[in-house]
Amino acid sequence: VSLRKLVAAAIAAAAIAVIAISCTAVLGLNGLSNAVDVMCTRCAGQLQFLGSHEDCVGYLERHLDALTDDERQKWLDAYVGQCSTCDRVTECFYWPKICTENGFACAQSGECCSSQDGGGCDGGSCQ
Amino acid sequence: MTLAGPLASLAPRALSAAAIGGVLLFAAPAARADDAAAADALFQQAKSLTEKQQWGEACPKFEASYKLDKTLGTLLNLADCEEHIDKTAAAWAHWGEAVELAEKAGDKRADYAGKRRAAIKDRVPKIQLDVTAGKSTLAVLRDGVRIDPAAYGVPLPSDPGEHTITVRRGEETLVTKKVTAKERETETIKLDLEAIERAAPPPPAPASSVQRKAGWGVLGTGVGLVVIAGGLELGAIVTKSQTNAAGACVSNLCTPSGYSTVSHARTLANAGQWLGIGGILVTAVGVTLVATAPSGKAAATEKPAAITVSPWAGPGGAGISVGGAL
Repeated sequence: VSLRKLVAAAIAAAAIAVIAISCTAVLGLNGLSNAVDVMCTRCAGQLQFLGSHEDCVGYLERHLDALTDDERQKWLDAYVGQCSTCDRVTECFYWPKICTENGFACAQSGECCSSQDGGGCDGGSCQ
Repeated sequence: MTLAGPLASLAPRALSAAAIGGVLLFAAPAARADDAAAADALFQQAKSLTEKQQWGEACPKFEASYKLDKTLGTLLNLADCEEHIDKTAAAWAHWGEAVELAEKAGDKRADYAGKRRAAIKDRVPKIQLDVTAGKSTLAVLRDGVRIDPAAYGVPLPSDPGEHTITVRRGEETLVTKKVTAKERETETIKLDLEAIERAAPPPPAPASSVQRKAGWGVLGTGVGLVVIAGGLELGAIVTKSQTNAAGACVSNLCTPSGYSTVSHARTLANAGQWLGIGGILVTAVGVTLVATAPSGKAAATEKPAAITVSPWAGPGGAGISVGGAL
């Protein structure tokens, strides 16, 4: 095998490696996570009233989808800025329209916004 | 008729011809000095041979001498020699050439050459090629010399004896015919080139053509893959920009819908990335195939290139492998 062929192969391999590494990285698509998934995984203990991990994720996704873009961005800013530690995660759960408001169907008392003030899930809806 | 005489071998070419013919006076202008000297030596040898009646050996020497130094005397001797060995067509042509040369120089020997030419005219055998060419591009050759299509159907002066008529496509001989030319006769050969072409269709494209075509095909596929890859990357950029505009991601965390969009963009980017890599490799293979395709005759003797292109897929990705013997 001639030196020229080796050099050509090395250059080709380097070019492919650069392309392979850089594509998603350049677009800033690497290292991003779903905030809800992180929240339910990392702070499962604090959010155990929502049930299993899947239930937790499902609940939060449903409620976030119901927000406007602006409301959703504000919630995300708050989560990243102040609720990313588990001791403060409930601040971002008991957030308007994220926790279940009075009169809306519920499964457990913990999900009701009123639970912070002694209310809870009664008869299938938050009271 | 004999030109040669006892004085001929002793005299210079022009003088010897003049002495023998009685009308040959001047030599043509000398060529390069060394060519002229060689021509003279050949001429003297030829004359010596004619004195011994060895015409068959003398004629080539006259011809060689004339090629080196185009003197009228040599040409006259050449024509006379050819007449002695019954190369009547060649003699007839050379007598004619001598007439032209002499007339151009204002030489009196033009009359002599003209008479000799006229005397031999009826003896010259002829071969007539009646060719039906149509759209055929096949070549017709007489004794290895290509006949201009304009000469088809024309009785062509030929030396007595056997002649070979061939029909060729490039270097390939399709038909060979033998014809014996006889004095005072015209032999006619009929050739239907279209029928010959139909009977022997052109061979399949040579390997070079196959490889080149395959190369262009692979190259085109590679470029196509790269273009598609570019489109996918563009799609990924647009999709990602949508998440940025909606503020769906902050720091490294995204809302579920934002994350879904990011995942979609990542899928597009990955697909574009691997397709792009594959496209670049396939393009490189195509360029190599085109660049290394043998050309012309070399390819005709080679075995066709065996090229295999096969897709592969694995846990780490997918692609196309190309291999084979060229």
